[in-house]
Amino acid sequence: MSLSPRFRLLLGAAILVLVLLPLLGQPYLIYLLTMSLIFGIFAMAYDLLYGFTGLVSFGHSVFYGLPAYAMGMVAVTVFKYPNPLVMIAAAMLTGLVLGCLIGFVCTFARGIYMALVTFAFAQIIELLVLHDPWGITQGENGIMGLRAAPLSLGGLTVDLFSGVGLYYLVLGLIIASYLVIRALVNSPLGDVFKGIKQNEERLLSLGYNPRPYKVAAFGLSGMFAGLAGAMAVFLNNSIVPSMVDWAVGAEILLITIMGGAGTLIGPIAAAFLIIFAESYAASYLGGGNWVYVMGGLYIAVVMFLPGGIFRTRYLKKAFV
Amino acid sequence: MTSLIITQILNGLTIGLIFALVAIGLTIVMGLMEVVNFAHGSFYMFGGYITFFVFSAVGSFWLGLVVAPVACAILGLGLYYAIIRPLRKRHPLEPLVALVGVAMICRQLIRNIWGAEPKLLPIPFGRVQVSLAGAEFTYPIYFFVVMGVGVAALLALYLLFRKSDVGIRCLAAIQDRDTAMSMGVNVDRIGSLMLVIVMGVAGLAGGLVGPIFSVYPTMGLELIGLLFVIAIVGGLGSIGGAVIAGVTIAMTKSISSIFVSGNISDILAYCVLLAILLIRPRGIMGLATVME
Amino acid sequence: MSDYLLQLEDVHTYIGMAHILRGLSLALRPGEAVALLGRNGEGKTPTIKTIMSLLPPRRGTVLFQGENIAGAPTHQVASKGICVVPKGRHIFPALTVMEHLRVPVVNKKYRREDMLKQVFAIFPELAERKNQPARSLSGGQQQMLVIARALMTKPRLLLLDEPMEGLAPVAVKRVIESMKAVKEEGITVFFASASCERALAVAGRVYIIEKGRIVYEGSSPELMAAPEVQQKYLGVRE
Ligand SMILES: Nc1ncnc2c1ncn2[C@@H]1O[C@H](COP(=O)(O)OP(=O)(O)O)[C@@H](O)[C@H]1O
Ligand SMILES: [Mg+2]
Repeated sequence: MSLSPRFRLLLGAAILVLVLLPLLGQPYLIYLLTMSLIFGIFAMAYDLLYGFTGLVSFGHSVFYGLPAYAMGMVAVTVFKYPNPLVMIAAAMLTGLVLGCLIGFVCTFARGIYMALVTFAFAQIIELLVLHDPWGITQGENGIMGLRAAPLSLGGLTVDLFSGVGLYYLVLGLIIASYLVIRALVNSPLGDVFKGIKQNEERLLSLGYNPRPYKVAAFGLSGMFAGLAGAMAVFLNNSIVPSMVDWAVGAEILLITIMGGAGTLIGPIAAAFLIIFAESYAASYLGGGNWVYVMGGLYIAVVMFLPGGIFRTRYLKKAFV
Repeated sequence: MTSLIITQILNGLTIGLIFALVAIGLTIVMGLMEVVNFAHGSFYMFGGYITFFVFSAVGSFWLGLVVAPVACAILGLGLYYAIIRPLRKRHPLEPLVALVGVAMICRQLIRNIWGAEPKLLPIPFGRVQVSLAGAEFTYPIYFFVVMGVGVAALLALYLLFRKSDVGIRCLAAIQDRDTAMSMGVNVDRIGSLMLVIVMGVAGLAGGLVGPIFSVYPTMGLELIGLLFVIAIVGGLGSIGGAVIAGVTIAMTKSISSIFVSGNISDILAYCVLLAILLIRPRGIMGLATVME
Repeated sequence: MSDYLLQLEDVHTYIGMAHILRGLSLALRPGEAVALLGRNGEGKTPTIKTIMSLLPPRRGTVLFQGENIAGAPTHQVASKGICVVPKGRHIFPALTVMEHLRVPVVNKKYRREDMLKQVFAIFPELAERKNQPARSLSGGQQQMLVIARALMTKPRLLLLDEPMEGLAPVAVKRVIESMKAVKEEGITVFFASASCERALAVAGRVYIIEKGRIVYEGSSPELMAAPEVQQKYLGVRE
């Protein structure tokens, strides 16, 4: 997957616009943009697993929410060590380990059955978080007060963890994540991932055991999902059980498919579309009626844009 | 204590049969058309609300139980032509996205018409004195009626799939779609017929549980996850598997709820599911299927 | 109308991005038994799936009784009088023998009872096992079952994909007998095989396929008399 010059130009322009937008000075816009970028990272993480490796997870909420709770443990409830870099590292590590663990268990099964195992995990973990038997997650209240302290860089303190600072941090992280994931899917490891998606039997007959690679895909996907979860914690200043609600995992699946699985950019675009549509529909149509817009959007995109936003004929040409 | 346990076993059986009834519809649609019908729960909800509507308009719960499946079957045909048929050549997850949209819209529609609060349907009949295994207790007659209707509906489905040409062809297509088509089976047409039937069954189930759980806008979405679990754990296209899975899950929940809180009993139910999936990765009655 | 029952003309079939059939042409006369020979991976199965419309060709025509059926829905192809015995048998594991025979859609001109009688006359071993689950049959019996299943539609053309593969020698003999019986009924037989020797026991004529194209056509005696052709296209590659 390489990009045509015209598409690179388009992408550059989009980044430029994103860099300049904070100049408008609208905090709510910045909030929505940050949230979109966070879901963009999350959607790319999902795309790595589904779009490139062909593994369907109905439980990705786990990899978004539990790393956030791990951060909460590091910073507030257990270790009380609120260093932002340590917190982020803890979240990504948790995502990685959790991805490998759940990936290891659920890849005993295949296809839809594997997807169901991820779903069962998501349900169990959501219930555990809500029930809080070990006093870590604070039950339905969640963990508050997590916005990280400003970062000190050699006498200089920069507040990367609120408002515009956080926005630019997340913008930087999504570009970095994109480059890393793209390099990954174009690497020999990525070729095995794609091989699993296209024809697992063939891989088996070539003497590969696909399972360790599937576990790796889960782990890597979990790591980036954890990064997204961590950023959401900084943005919202709280960790709430709705982060592990399986509906979050369902939403990221919808976003990835709407955007066009296996295109990375498509899911990011769909994340922007969904976050903004949700927010504006909610504020213009009271009483929950924004659901009509969202439901209609899901239906319309699938009906009229087969293969997702970025698989339409015009945009397909952009990929060489 | 014994009477409590027996009561919970009876409850588990009743609810498990209803779960199985709805879940079979999911497995048929999934196996036959590769459609993960997220809107299935919405039809269960429609069934409940249509029954409630007929009850409050005419005063007859039983008439509601007749109207609900018919109306849901017709709506099911609409769903087939509006969403499922146009998307039938797509990757299976694309119709899923559209059907999630449908489910969201249905829930909100019901909210706008009847409000978010649960609507109560009175339980028909009274309670009956039961003496079983040395325990004496009273149990609602209606639960036995639900069990009876549930078993009858399951039997009807069994006869459909084992004794009629269309049912046998449907099972064949679930097991091997290409080969069934090569034998002249019009899988699309059977699909539309099956969708009509299973949506009617979902509507019936929704009406039946109305007096037990009352009806409310999230009743479908709340259940859909569990239904998928039962459907797939039971094995695609397997009635017996769905009954075993449905009753197992419902029993686990209802019996463990005597000893632990509702949350923990849910966790236990999902642990049972995990165990089944890991021991029998293709479901209880699993066969090689199209979804792999 | 031509005197061919089936005619493939410059057919190009893709699997995903892969160009599998690359301008394949062949033709069958009514009542013939013809073999499609070729090594593994040369495109025999795709040819059969193309005829059944399970892999619709991107270019070219598939004429059956003079009508182009390329791209028609598979069940319609079947109803026009083509049926298939897929590679690896493809029984429906949860169905019984009798249920298998109820799956095919019988042409309205015929009664199912009559068809059953005919089929059981060719395969008496199935009549004895009507209510047995198909998965409990031996490999040879399963092969009989899928041939019987295909015959239930009363096809004019029967396609078989490697019908003798993976069977014990006795079962191979039964398959060959039954294919001859099918031909005796006046049904045109077209089958894929990787083994020249076994195919020549049934076929009157052969095509050889290589890389998605027909590279040889001839009568069975001609091919039998041409060991160098057999070696070139079907023998073990150096
Ligand atoms: N799913 C697939 N994707 C891509 N190529 C395939 C696929 N299945 C088969 N092929 C290719 O199609 C060709 C024909 O294969 P096959 O059907 O096995 O032929 P045959 O029946 O002659 O043995 C081979 O080159 C094979 O690699
Ligand atoms: Mg083959």
